[in-house]
Amino acid sequence: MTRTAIRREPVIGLEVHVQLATRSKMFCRCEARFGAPPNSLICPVCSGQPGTLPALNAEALRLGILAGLALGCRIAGRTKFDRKNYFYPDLPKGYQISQYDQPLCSGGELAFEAPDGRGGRQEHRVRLVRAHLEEDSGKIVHPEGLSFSLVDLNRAGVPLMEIVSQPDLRSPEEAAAYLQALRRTLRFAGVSECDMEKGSFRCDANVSLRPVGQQAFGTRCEIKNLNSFRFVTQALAAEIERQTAILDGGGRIVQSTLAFDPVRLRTAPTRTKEEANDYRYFPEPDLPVFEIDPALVESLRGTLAGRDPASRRRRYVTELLLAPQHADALLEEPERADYFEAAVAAADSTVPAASVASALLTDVLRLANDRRRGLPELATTPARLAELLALVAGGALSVQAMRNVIVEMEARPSVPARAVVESMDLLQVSDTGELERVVADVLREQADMVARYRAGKTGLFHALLGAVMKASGGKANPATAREILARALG
Amino acid sequence: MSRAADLAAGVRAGRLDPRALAEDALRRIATHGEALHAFLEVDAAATRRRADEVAAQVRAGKDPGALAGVPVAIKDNIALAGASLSCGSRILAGYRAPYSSHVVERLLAAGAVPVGRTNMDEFAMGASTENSAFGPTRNPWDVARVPGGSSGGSAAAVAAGLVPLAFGSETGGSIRQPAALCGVTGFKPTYGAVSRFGLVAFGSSLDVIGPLAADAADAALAHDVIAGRDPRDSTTYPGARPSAARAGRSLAGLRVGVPGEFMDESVDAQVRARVDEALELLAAQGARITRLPLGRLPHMDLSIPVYYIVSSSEASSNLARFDGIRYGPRSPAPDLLETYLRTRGTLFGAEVRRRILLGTFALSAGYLDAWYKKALAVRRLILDEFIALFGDFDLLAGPTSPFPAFALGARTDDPYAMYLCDILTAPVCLAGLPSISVPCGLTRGAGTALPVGLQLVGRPADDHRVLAAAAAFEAARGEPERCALFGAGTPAAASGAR
Amino acid sequence: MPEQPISADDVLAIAKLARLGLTDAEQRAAAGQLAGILAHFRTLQGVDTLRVEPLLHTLERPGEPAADVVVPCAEARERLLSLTPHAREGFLVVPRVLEADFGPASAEPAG
Repeated sequence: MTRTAIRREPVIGLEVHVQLATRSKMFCRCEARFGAPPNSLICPVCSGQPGTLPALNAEALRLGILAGLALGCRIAGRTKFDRKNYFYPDLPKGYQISQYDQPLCSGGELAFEAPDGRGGRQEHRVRLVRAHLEEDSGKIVHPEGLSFSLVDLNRAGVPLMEIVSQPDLRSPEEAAAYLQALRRTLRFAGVSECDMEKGSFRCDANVSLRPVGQQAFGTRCEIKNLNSFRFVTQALAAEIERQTAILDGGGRIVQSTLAFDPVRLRTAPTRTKEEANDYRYFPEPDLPVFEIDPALVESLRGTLAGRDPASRRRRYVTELLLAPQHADALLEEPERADYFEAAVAAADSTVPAASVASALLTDVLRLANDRRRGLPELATTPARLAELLALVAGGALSVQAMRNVIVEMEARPSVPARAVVESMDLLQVSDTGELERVVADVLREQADMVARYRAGKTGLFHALLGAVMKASGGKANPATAREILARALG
Repeated sequence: MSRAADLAAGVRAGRLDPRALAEDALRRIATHGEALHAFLEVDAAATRRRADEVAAQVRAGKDPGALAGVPVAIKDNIALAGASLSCGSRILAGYRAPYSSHVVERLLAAGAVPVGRTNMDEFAMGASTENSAFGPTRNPWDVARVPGGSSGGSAAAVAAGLVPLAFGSETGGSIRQPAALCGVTGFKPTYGAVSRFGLVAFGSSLDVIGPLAADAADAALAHDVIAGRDPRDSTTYPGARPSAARAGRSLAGLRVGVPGEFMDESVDAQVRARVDEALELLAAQGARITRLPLGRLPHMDLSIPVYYIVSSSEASSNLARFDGIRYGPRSPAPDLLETYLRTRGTLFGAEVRRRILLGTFALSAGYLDAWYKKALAVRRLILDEFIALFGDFDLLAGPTSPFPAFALGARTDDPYAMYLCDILTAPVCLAGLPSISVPCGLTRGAGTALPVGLQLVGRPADDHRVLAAAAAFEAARGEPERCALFGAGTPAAASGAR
Repeated sequence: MPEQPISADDVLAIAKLARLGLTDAEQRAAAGQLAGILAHFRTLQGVDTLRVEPLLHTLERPGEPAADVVVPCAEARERLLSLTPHAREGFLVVPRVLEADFGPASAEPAG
């Protein structure tokens, strides 16, 4: 068979399941926590015992609204739940409580940048269809080579938000960039940890191909349960290749549900659903309709204003004059951005924001990594960093010495920055009078070198400066010393 | 058989011993248990322990509560921790409830002494208790007849004087109809007045828990103990007011409507006759009775299709959790699919399977609008027609059941024939209204005299008015006929608190 | 609107959706009974409900969500696993759930 030379474009839509950062589960008050021993965080409700009923978690509803606002969605005035009926061992009631025709959030969009493949970046906008609330299922483990599977219901009932995009994505790289942007937006809104390793951010991808220029969509296949960004791009690439090969060979795509094998880098149909499931959605009779208070929505909208990554980046670059790559580095994690802004707020006018960013991205982050602590847990608080940076700005501390001081400050949480610096004997002398005396002494001692310098060997300036630094016991503020020496040498 | 209210008063005053009351109940149950098969499980040791606890409280000077020491029977679909919760089904045979329902928690906090788990139609699907996987219960008035259902065991237990108070559940008539067929008082509260947390769900938008007792005063007492908002049941509403029944509210001036649809010719002539007499009695007490022509409830005749479509649809989903995976028996099978098919196919009874199929069908793609959504729309029409009637009347009245207790096996060949038992009760359930069945006489003529029940229906959340009116009717009626077993055996003589 | 009677094949499909294993005889019997019941219920179709909202909740009161407070369930695992003999090392044991078929089993990763 000849390969036809049709140019096709991939059409990709993503469904992301995000675990909302609540303490308890969606419909019962069991703890929603990853990593506990199997079946230890359950109760009669989430384990589907006869006679139990759901009670909606207010915080899940609030975080759902927050997520919708962060994604530019319309928030419903009233929202209701529906039952999605199917049989599976990880679904204790034999149905999942989800939302069918009155989702909490509709519409919305996500703007992000992605590499354009030519070394630059391109802006994309992906429209969202909807975002709704639902409960998670338990987990099934399949021990290798054994005839049984094992079920852990700890995750059953954990609150989820399902975020559905329009099929606006056109490449695996764009899909990955969309996911990164979605993850960052939700983390910055405080909605979810979005930790793929802990399963709090999971992705299903719908992929089809169509000839470039054609409006109609091709038949799509769904790849389920992609739990790392790398798997997402690999799986999409593999599936695009698979569909291309079929279509090039004159075949037809059969709509299927697929899983991705990260070892063989292939997609293959799942056998878990024997036939297309009729979920028989109907309104959940055990839960009333919930009215969404417009005042709550507006107040949540207010808490988000200006705090999204895009607004903050604009402010960092244009108002605070940060280098774009520093702004991006700070905006990788909400912790970093929050720490940065708190330190800038605490710092006096002598401390440029750029130096706060710089110190945070190098010394403070290094400290946090070494101590295996999150930024909010450090004893080196934004306020103490600001103090330290004021000392640097005032010439009392060299930038190089700052790293060691920070380590020492971490070990002595209640000691003010200046006292720590002093105790380490690193307080620099910036006092011009003192330095002028030191310089004068050095010039007298090094009269020889001075004569040769004045005769034309300008390179000797460096040696003379070194001598001044040494004579001051390393405490001279280098910039000030340099200035005074230069003046003294004429 | 003494009233629950009297027993509780006696226990609280130290005149009656809870343990003696419990032993009496256990003895009566043991004596008549085989003949009636009202109970699926009686845990004598647990009953005695519980009675002793209540006695200890009294001795310590503490008030055990409004039902202190009262032996109560509980339908086997209402959870009591550690006890059976079979729902009359083999798919839950051996299952011990890992928690207690809200209602049972309230009963225990009020000092009640559960003495046993009563028989029922499997998963509350039925009107005769013949659908129990563990054999039918028999009507104490004539053991060749059914007690009604699905709370047949609870109704028979009270009618036979085994316990003064029992609890059942109603979805289409399952408290009131067996109460009527057994000659006792059965109260169905407004939907949402009593928490369903711990009631094994059948038709979620219809299910309610209510008491069966020898009179409305006891029913009111029981309702006050169990009613009220429960945060674990999102469909409950707050502010269930204590019943005014004990205040003996008079019937004077009460506007009572009798819809033509309640008294049409599908109702047995003897039943209509007893109800007519009851209405005259109400009128004699000052109630303003208005007999309405047909046409005020024009969609009531669709209640059976609506009820069966809605309840079966909800049930098909509610019963999906019974698969042997987490609890209950699991049929051996080579793979997961076969495990589901065999467990559910063999351990559910025929009526349950039939309704699951009906409900699954009504919800399935292509049929959802035509059946399920259609039924819900007609349900709204039925509700609206009732609400409109309550613009003119305070209560509605009529017979509870179109016929008295029928013979065992008389309606088991044709499911639809059994469904017709609910034609007078199901409409009230669809509308979520509070309603009570009170005994209003026996059938006369050839054959056994059988009890007839009068149903009174109130506005949503007007539970106390229904209970009060029933109590007033009963006061005017006097002591109703009781079956032979009822008075047999007296409660223990006062022995004082030890 | 379905006009044709329910066949045994229809019943088989519905029974599979509901995970009810029925014998052939049970399927045929169920088909007859369901058809009979639905024939009785057909009167529903004649009612004009064009402008009538389905009644979803008997009590039309808005919901009150619950506070996000953890309430631990004492001895949760013991209580759950004591309800079935099919438990091992804290897990529930079920017949093998089949996942995707990636072809002949091979321990070697793709190139």
